[in-house]
Amino acid sequence: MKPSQFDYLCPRSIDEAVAALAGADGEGKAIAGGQSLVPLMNLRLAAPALIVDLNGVPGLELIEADGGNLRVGALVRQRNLEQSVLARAVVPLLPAALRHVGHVATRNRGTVGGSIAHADPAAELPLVLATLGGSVLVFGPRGEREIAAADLFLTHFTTLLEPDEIVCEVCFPETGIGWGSAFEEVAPRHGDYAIAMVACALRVEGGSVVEARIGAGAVADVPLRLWAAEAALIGAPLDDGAAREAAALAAQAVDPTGGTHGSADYRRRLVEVLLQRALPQAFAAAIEGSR
Amino acid sequence: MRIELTVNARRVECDVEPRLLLSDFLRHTLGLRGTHVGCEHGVCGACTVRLDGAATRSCLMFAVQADRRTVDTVEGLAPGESALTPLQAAFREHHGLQCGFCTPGILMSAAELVESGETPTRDEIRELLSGHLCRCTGYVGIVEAIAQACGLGPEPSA
Amino acid sequence: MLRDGLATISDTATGAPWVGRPLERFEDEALLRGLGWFMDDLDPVPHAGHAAIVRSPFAHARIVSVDVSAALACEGVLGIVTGAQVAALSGPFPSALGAGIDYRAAAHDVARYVGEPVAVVVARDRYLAEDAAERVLVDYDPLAPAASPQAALADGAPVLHPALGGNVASDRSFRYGDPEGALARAALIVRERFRHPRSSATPVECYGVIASWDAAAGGVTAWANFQGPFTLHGVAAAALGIPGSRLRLCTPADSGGSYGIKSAVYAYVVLMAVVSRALGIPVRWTEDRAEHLLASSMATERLTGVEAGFDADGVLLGLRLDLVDDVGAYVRAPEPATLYRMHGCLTGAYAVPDLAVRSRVVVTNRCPTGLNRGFGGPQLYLALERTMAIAARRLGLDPAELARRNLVPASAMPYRAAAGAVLDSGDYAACLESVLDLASYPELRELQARERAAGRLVGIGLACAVEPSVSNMGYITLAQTAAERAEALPKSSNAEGVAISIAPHGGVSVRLTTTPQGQGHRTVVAQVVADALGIEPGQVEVQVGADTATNPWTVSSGNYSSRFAAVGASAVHVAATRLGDRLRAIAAPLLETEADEVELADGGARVRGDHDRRISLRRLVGAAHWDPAGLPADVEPGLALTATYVVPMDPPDGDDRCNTSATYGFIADVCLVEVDAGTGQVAVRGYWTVHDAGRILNPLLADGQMLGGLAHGLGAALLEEHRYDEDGNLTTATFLDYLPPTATELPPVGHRTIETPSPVTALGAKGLGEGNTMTAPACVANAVADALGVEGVELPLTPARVWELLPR
Repeated sequence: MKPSQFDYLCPRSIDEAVAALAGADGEGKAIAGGQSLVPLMNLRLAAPALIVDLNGVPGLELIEADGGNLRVGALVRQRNLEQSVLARAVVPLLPAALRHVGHVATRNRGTVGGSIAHADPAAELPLVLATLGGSVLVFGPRGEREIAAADLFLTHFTTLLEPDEIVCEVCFPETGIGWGSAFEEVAPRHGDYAIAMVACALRVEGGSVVEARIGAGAVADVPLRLWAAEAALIGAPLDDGAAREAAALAAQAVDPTGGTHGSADYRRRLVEVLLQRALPQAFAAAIEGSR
Repeated sequence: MRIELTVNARRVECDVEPRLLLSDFLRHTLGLRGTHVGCEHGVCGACTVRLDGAATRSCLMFAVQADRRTVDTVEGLAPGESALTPLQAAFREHHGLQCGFCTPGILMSAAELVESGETPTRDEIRELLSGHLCRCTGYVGIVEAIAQACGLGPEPSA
Repeated sequence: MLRDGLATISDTATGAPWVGRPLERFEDEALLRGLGWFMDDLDPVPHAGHAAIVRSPFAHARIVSVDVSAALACEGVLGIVTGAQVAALSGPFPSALGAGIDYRAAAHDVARYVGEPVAVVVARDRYLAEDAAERVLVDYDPLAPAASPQAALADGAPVLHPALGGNVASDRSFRYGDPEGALARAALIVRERFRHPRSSATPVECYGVIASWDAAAGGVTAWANFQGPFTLHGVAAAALGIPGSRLRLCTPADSGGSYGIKSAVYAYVVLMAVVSRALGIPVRWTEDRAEHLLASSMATERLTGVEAGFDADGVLLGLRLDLVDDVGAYVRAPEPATLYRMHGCLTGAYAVPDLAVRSRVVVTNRCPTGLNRGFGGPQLYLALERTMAIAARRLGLDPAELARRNLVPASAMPYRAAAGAVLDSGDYAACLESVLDLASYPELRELQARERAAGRLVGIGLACAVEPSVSNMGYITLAQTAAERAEALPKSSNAEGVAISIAPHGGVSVRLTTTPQGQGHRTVVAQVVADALGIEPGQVEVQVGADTATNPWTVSSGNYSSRFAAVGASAVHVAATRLGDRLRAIAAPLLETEADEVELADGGARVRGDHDRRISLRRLVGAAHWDPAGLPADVEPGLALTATYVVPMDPPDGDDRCNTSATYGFIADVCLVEVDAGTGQVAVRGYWTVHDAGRILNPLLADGQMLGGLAHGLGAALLEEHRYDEDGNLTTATFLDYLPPTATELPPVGHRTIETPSPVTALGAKGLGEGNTMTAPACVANAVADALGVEGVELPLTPARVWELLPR
C-alpha cells in the first residue's frame, strides 16, 4: 500500500503555506500529524497532487489560557495536550477525552488542529470542541477568521474550511473552578473510534447546576450539542431523576444510522446510558472541586 | 529531495522521493531491517520508531519529514555487540516474544516509557500496549517484561 | 507427573535433563536486536522486479478484457502478466475435490472472489508497480454472486463452477453405531443450529514470495514464508507443470507468525513463478495488509446442526451432526481438511458410541479458506460445548456435573471414539476437577448468586475439549467414499526427517523442516540433542530454514496441527540418539569396554559407574574425522546421518473410521463474565484453563503457546469476524474493521498443566497451542448465555449483539 506521487513543500511561514495551497487549485492538502491523512494516501483513497507540510511553520505550538479560553496551537501534538498541566486545570474534558484518541504513538505525532480539520464524526476532539462551544482560528489568502464550532462541522470529514485555509488555533472555553466534567465512550477496543460517546461539563453554584454543556459523538455525521438536555438541568441539583430525564431528552434528540457496530436503536440507547453515567460524575466533580 | 538526519546516532544524507515512507527508507535505503511493516495504516504498531525520542509510526511519515530530525530504531538499543538493554533482557526472561515480528515496535514504545522514569501500573502498561498488535504471546510476557524494566515487582497472583 | 515405567530420554546421560526445563530461547538474541531474517529482509537474487497484483473488485464477474497498454507505458515497469497468460503457462491446482473446478493462480475468464488476482505488474519498485497497476484496464461483466453459504445452498443460487452442477463440492454421510436408536431412547433431545463465522489469525507479517525461474533448467527457485504441510509443494509443482525436483522451495529463518494462514502462500508461489517465467526476470512480492485481509486465507464459516440425545441423567447417548463448511470460491488444497481434521473425534471428550454425520463442502464467492489456528476445532466445539451447556440448563444440572457424567474415563484409555479417533492417554476427569479447583468453582457460583441478587449480569462458562495434534495424512481421503479410496493409493501417518551431524570442528548441527514461526524450535531441538549427546544446548546449531533441495523433508513436513512437540522433537530425539549410538561405538574400544557400558555426559563419553574412565567428545570427533582407518570395522564412517521418524496411523477403514490425529491432549476451561446491562459490553473477569498435553518439553514456551492460543480464541469469541455483504464485498478490509484483541481486551488467566505422557510419541509429548483457540469461543459463549439466561448467542459477542439479547 504505497501512496501516489505528489509534490512536497515544507514552508517556513504560514503565509507561504497558504499561498502554496491557494496555488494548487484545490489539489493541495496540508499535512500536520498525518495520522489520518497518510493511511488514506497509503490506501490510495486520497491522492493529493501537492502536500504542504505544516511541521516547519513556527508559532503554532503554544498552549495558553487567557481567562476565557484555552488556546491551543494547531500543531500542538495530542500527547502534549493530554499531558499539559494547564489543560488539565482549565479544560479537564481534554485529558479525559484524549486518553481515548488512538494510542500513544499516534498521539505523539497527531495534532489538535489536524484532528479538528479532519472532522471524523467518531473522533473525540471535535466532540469536545462542539460540546464546549469552542471555535477555531483559521488563516487563508483572505486573511484570518474565527469559526464557531457550531458552524464548523458540516458533515463527515467536511468543515467550513476552504481548501486554501489552515487551522491555526483551536479555542476551548475554560471549564475550571466551579465546573465538573466527564467523558464516556463505548468503542470495540481501547483507542478505537467510538460507537457512541458523550462529553459533558456542568457548572455548579450553591449546589445547583447553573450552566451545562452536553454533547454526543459518533451518532451523526457531526458532533451534536444537546441543547434540550442542557436546558433541563439548569436551576436544580443533579439527582438521579434529573440525570435520567436529561439523558432521555438527549436520546430523543439524536437520530443515528445503523452500521456494522450497532443498530440505530442501540446507538441511541448508548447515548442515554452513557449520559446517565457521565452526568452524575460531572456533577460530583464540580461539587468536589468547589470544596 | 535531499535530506539530512541522524539515525541511531549516525548522520545520514540522502536523496529521496517525497512519497517514500519513512519505514521503507529505514528498511530499504538504509538497510535497517529491524523496523517491520505490518499494516501501513498505523494500527499494528510494528513499524514504531522514535522520532526525536517520541514513539512514532514510521509507516505514517514520509522520509522527507524526518529531515533534520533524530530517528532511533531497535538496532540502536544495543548497538553492535553491546549487551542487551535491561528492557530487552527482560523480554527474553519473560518470554515476551515468539515470532519477534511485532517486537521491535513494542521495544521502541516501551523504551520511551522506561526512559520517562515514570512508574506505571500494569493497567497503564496494557494501555500503552493497546497500540501494538501481537498475535503470538497473548501479551502476558510482554507486560511482565515491561513491568520489570520499569521497576515494578512481580505480579501478585490472583 | 510422569507415569512410572516410562523411559526417560536421558537414560544414557546422568544429571538433570534439559528437556522439561524452562530454558530461555536462543532465537531471542537476534530478534530483540532487530536482526531477524524475515521474508521481506531477504535479497537472495539480484535485479528482482517488484510485483503488484491487480485484483478483481467484483465477487463474481466475467473477465471480458484486460488492457495493459497504458500500464506498460508507466515509469519503471518491467512487464505485466495477465490471467490469460498465467493460464497458458500453468495448470489448475490439484485438490481432493478438484473435479469440475478450474482453480488457477490468477483468474482468466471468471473472477470468483473480490481480491482474486487478475494480472501482475512488475516494476523497479513497489511504488511504481502500484502506479502502473492502477492503469491496467479490466472490463468486467458482473455476475450475481453467492456471497454466503446460505445463499450458495439456496434454490436457484448463482453457480460458481458450472461443471460442478451446483455449489456443493462434496456431500458425504457417515454412520457409526446406532444413532437413530440412541436418539429414540433419549429423554431429552437438544436440537440447535450454530454458526461459527469466518475469522483469521492475521499474523503481523503478511505473505512474501521471491521467485526466480530458470529457463535453462525448466524450473524455479522460490523463497516464501511457507509453513507447510509440504503436500502443498507437490500441488504447486503440479500447477506449474514441472516435476517436484524442479521446484526448489526455501523458507527464511524467521517467520512473523502464521497459525496456519501461511500454508496458502503456495498459491502465490505459483503465481510469482509463472510471472518470473513469463518475464524472464526474478520477481519479488511482499503482500500488504489490505491484500492479506482480502485474499490470503481464512478459517471456514461453519454452519452446524446438532441433534443430541441425552438420558434422564444427562448421559449423552447419541449425536447427529450436520456440518456445512464454506470454503470460498475454490476448494483450495488442503481443503476440505477443515471439515475432516476433527472427524475422528467429532464426539469430543465424551464417550458417545452412536454418531451420524453429514459433511458438506460449499463454495461461495469469498476468499478461499485454509488452515487457521484450531483448524476445525473452534467450529466443532462451539456447537458441541454450547449443546452441552444448553442440555445442562434444560436438565437442571450444573454444566460441570454434566461433563463429569460424560467424559471418557481414564480407565478406558486408549479409547476408540465412534468415528475412529484413538484417544491415547489422559485423565480427563482429573483435569476437569483441577480447573474447577483452580477457578474455585463453588465460590464462583456463590459469587454469581450474590451479584445476580444485586442485579448484575454475571455468568460462568465451561468448555472441555480433546485437542488433537499431528494430523494423519490419510484423513483427507474421508472426503472420498471407501470404494473411491480403494481405487487410489492410500495415504497415512505423519513423518519428519532430521539431519544431524558433527563437523570436524566439533560443532553439532541439526537440520529439519518444521518451519517455525516463533514456537522456539531451535531451542527445543537443542534441548533434545543436548540430552541425547550429553552436551550443552548452546553447542547445538539448528537450521530451521527449509530448503526442499537439501533438507530431509517429508510430505507431512511443516508446522501445523501442533506437530512439532510430538513428531518434530521426537524425530530429533531419534536422530540424535542414533548419532549417540555411533559415538558410543567409537568410544567403546578407546575406553576398553562395551558400547552399552558407555554413556554420553558432560561433553564426553565415560564408562557407566566408573566416571574417571572418560574421553572428550572432541577426541571422539577427531578420531572419526581424522583417523577413520582407526575406527572399529562395524561402525558406520562419518558423523552425519538422517533419520525419519514416523507416527504410524492407518488410512480410513472400509467403515469410514479414521484416527485423524496421532495424539490427543485435553483441556478444560472455566470463565467468569459480566455483561454491562446498559451497553452490552462483555467483560471477562477471569479465565482459568488446565491442560494435559503430555510431556512438556519447555514449560516457558508451552505456557506461551497456551496463552497465545487463548488470545486467538478470545478474539474470535468477542471481536473477530470477517464479514461479507450480499454482493460479496469484504467489509472488514482493514485493521480499522477487523479487530484482533490487544492487551487491554484480554483477561487475567489462571493456568495449570498436567502431564500424562502420550504412549505413541517417542518423547511422550503431545501438541499444544491450538487447544484454547478451540475452547475459548464456546467457553465465553456459554458464560454469556449463562449471564443472560438465554440459549441463542452468536459470535462474535460484540456489545451491539449482546445488547440485542438483554431483557428490555
